[in-house]
Amino acid sequence: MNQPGRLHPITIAIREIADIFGRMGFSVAQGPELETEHYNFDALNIPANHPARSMQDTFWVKDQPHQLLRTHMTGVSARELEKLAKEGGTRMRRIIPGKVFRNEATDMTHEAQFYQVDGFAVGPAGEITMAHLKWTLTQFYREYLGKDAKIRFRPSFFGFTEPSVEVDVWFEPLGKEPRWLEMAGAGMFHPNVIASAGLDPKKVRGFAFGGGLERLLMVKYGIPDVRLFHNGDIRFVHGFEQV
Amino acid sequence: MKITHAKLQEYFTQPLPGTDAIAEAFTFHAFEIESVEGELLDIKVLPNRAADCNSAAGIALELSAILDVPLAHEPELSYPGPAVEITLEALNGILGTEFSAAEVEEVFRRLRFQVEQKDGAYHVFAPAPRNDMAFIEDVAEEVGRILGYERVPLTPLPAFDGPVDQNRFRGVERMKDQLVEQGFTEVSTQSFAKKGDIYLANPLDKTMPALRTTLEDNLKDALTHAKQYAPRVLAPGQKLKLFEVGTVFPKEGEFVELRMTETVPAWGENFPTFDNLSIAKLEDYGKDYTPIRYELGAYRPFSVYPFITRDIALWVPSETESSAIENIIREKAGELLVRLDQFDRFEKEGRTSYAFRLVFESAERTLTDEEIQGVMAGVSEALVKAGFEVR
Repeated sequence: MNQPGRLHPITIAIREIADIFGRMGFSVAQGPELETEHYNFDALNIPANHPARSMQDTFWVKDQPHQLLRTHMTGVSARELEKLAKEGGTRMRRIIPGKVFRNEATDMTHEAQFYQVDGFAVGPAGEITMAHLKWTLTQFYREYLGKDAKIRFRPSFFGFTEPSVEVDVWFEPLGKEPRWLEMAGAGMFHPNVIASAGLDPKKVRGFAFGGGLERLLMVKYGIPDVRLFHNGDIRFVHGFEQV
Repeated sequence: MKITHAKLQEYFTQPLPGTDAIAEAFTFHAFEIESVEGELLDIKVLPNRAADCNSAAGIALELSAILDVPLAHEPELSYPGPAVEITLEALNGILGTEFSAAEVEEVFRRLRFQVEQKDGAYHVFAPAPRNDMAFIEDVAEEVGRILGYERVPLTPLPAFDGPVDQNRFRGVERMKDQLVEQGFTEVSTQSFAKKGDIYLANPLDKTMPALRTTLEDNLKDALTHAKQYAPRVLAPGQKLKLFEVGTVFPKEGEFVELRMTETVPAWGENFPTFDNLSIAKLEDYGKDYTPIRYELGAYRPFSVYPFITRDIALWVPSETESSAIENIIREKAGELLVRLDQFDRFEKEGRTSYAFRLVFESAERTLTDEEIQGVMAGVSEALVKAGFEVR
């Protein structure tokens, strides 16, 4: 009897994201889950006293100072930018999916481990702008969520980007009122991040973005509880009609 | 910081818009509104503006810039510098905009920046105690924030002329596709474990203080649980096979492990039930491979209440289509039927025998045997009425 298995919806989503961004010139990068404080915070222009570094937000490794579970995928961006500096290049595009960790109590919308996707595109100064960021993310959400999807930038603040924006996506969730949903953070790489990687921020600039994957899937498929994703339950994996 | 509408109004002569409109204005200008209670605003000042916006006077000055409404008493401001030197071209080169000099200078005026023009560049001084103006990107952000990012156009990303490398990623996905083809279902489990080589200084769950060194234990647990639910998701006769790809943390260093609940026939008996994908040579394997894409429909939540299975076998005339039988079963079984699988078929003396498994479940309650007995009696009756012989 034919017995096809199933892929986890996160795998299905990452494939689609890698494909969409691949067609826009983005390579896939990966990096360690056990990360150093340097790549997770210092290299990303996050001040030493920033609350994100606290025990309430970040999982730290016992008896190993400066070792932590990565809280975002942006540390891999820093590592990739270092590679670009070593190669002496100025252009690079990466899409970076992976598991991240936050020390927060779990409930229907919060998990201590979840997936994020970061991405960036850098080029010689002036080549890559906020307008390219807006186009790239619009392309992505239109392909991923449907042609009616649109985005808006809401000014915000993150250490690793300047200017920084929250990316709201206009989406019509299954059986719900259409609305703006906060989907990602984005902006132009902060000059300190570029410099930290060994690149000249006057010569290399670009955009970066990052967002949670489970939330995107919850919206897209009407999944009620984030804790369903990583509890090993096959009923979840089989809970989707496969078209 | 918390501030009332009335307190803000004290700083202005002309009437301010309502509290909600003010909240909206802050939200779209890099402040977060924690709450609005009547006339009381709770404004979260982000770290870059902590120096100048943690007072009522600071917030009022900012609101004056955002709304472009004059203050009743313009404060004496000082400009200690250093200045940020930026050209209009560089500013538009960050934002991807075509803002005019007049528009940009208008923003500087609203923000009370002191500006000198030298050799075609602006030398921008922010008023003390603002300390967030150090790079040209900071100035570009202020202009984008005040003029509005809706004015940033959609500009297609230039074509990338370098190589696009997704080979390694695709190599892993190719292995997953083969596993799915072999009947394996992918699961995802928690990275935290009871024991391991690496412990967390601040575990969330004190009983799970370590990082997993293998996927084996989680996958075993997942399989044990899956067995209880197998009839709910698989057809009779289908074997439950699971796999996971995830990072593990032995003392030698983390790596990405692939783990299966049994060997994969297509990979040979000697291929073990696990693999270290971090050292596997997957680049060539993934180079020319396009991972299979799936379209998923809406998620259908499973019930928290147990399901009940019943089998039914019947003789039908050999020309009968199984879909005709399934239609009768579905119609009679009603909405409690969540799964129907044909699991046997053979012919004998001009007749065909079919066997089906029915799975019943309610989203609201635990079903009773008596209830399902009644449903099955109705199904049998309808099948007999259609001229079939229920065995």
